[in-house]
Amino acid sequence: MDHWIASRNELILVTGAAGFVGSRVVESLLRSGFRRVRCLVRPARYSSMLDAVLEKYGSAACEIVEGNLLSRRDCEEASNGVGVVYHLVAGRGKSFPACFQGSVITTRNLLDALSARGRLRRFVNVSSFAVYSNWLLPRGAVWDESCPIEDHLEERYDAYTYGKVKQDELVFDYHRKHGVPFVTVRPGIVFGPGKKAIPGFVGVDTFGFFAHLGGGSQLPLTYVDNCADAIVLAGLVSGVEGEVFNVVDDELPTSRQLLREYKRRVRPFLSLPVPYWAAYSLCWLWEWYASRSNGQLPPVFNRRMCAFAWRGHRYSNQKLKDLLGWRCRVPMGEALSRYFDYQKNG
Amino acid sequence: MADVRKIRVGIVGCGFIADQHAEQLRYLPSCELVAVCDQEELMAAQLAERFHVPRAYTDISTMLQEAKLDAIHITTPAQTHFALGRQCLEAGCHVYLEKPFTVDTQEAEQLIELAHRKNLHITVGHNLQFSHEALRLRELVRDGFLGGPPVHIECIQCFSHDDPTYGRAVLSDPRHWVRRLPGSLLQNLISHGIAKIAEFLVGDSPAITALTFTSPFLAQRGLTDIVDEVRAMMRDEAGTTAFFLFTTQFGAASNELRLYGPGGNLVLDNTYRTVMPARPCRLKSYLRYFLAPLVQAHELARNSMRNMRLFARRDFQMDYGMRKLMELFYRAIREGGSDPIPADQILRTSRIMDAIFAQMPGRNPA
Repeated sequence: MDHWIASRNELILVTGAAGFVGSRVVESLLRSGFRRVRCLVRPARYSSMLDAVLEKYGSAACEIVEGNLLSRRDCEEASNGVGVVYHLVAGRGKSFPACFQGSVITTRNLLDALSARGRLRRFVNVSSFAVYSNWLLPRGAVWDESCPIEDHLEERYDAYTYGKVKQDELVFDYHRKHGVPFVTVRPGIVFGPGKKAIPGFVGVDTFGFFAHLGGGSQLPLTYVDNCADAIVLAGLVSGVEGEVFNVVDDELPTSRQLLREYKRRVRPFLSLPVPYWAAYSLCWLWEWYASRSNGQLPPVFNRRMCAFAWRGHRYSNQKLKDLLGWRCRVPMGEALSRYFDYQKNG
Repeated sequence: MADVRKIRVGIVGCGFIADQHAEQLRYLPSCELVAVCDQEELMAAQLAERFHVPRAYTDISTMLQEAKLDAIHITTPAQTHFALGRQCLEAGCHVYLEKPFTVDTQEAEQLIELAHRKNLHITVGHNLQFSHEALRLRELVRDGFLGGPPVHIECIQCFSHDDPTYGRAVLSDPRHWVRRLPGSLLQNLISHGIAKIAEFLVGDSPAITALTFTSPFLAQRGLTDIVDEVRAMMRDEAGTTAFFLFTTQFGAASNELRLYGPGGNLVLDNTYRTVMPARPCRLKSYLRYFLAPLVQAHELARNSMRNMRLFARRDFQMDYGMRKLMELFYRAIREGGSDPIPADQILRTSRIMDAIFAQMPGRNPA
């Protein structure tokens, strides 16, 4: 494509290439005709998902590199000669240091190695919706790239959010100090075959039953293949340096619609609908008690987290379409069918 | 009350377990966390930021010089415990070492000897020995419930490889520091269970026969270099026998300590936080089958009520054992008392672990 910054012979690095989204990014690159894709995978994480991609497209265009981004030497080896980097590695879980290490230290090591090479044309920083704060966004308002970043991380008390916010800050810092050319991509809820879970935006089963908290709110879903296409375009389209792109699909279902279909097509189960005001009150109560419980309960349920997941907004992918020319390749109906099929039989 | 100066505490090693230390230190009024240190500047900075610690360092020597610390928590990989512990003791700081205490007994002996010589306190993070249920078990043993020294001890410790921040991290990285320990994965895990047994044994070095092997889960993934199953028999100088089981294969994970004495038995369950006493059954005939289970149910109900009372009193934290251990450690420092974990227990734990690792197939070099 003439408006792309890289030719199909450019060496592309995909970190986290064995992961749920990473393997689809590799697939999207191969489908677009890229012939030199370096896949960085953890030694024991070489996955069936990536295997399936290589089987489908052949492995000639891919170079599998085993390594750990916590190792500077591995970063140097992985970054040798690359022009575009898709950085999908992230720290996950409930541990703050683990998320920080997995998101920030890895990114720092990689950026150091890339800066030293001086050949980088674009660094695609795959961030997350989790970094946003909709605290001041009215219910029902459009949530797009102008939404503020969470600045009350202690109150939000989410390890993944903490790691991702710090990762984004770090990337911007490297851009400012070292001129790293970057684009940030923030996917909503990525779903599809390979991920077995009902999104937390729909509800939680922490207390022994399924509390349906999403009500009639729209869900910021993006099907994994559509999301991968958006990420790939963010690394290729010219003239978008420094931009941020939220990734959500078209025709977004509501939480109620998704749950109803899930029960119909995967398995029936009982769920208790909890209205937003009740969820907010319970989260406020939990937060209040946590601060007085002598450390007995961590504030994992809190008002900011409640607002983030269940307040209910509308979502826009207009910027994605306007600047990157992205189109939703797999329509929502088909995407949900594949998702339900995997949940039932996968 | 006179204004008593707070104990100035530092943490070296700002990884996963350091968070728990920093969190529990917030609730100890006699201490203040004034400095953190990690070779990785960003890790030190994130811990300092989240816990409002005034100073973050990347070099322990600088921290020791500048931060005027009274005590240091060492939460680094086990291979560094000895050198860092010695450096901190030499600098006049009391030392709280995360488990495993050291890589081997030789290092453990040297550290303890140095602490005694410098009149400093030293302890190890065997916090499960200070959970509510462990304290209650100890109280019952002291009150003579067993009717004498234990005849036999059993400890079951389960672990899941699915843990995302530890299990998977270790398995996916052949260069992970845990896999370079002499006892590999086991060394960083079994000290909790071994320490529970060591508390009730006597003498320096019990006789030990250990069977160690790789679980089918790891074998199927080609990770046969990792040993993750242990069955060990022990017998101490007084004739008390013990059985230690470490496994990754139980579906219903269990973490139990069972003490069998001439007068009764005690079962501590860390998973459900219970202590179940079992007395000799005096019931005759069929009554033992009808009434004895009811007595057990009554004991379980009492455990449940006790846990609920503790929760209502805001004294039932997930990391209560760590908080209690720290509280006792700092009380010993402030009041000059004995350490919460006696040196001979630390050394016995270390010797038992050494003996188990010595019987591992193809053990790693230190």
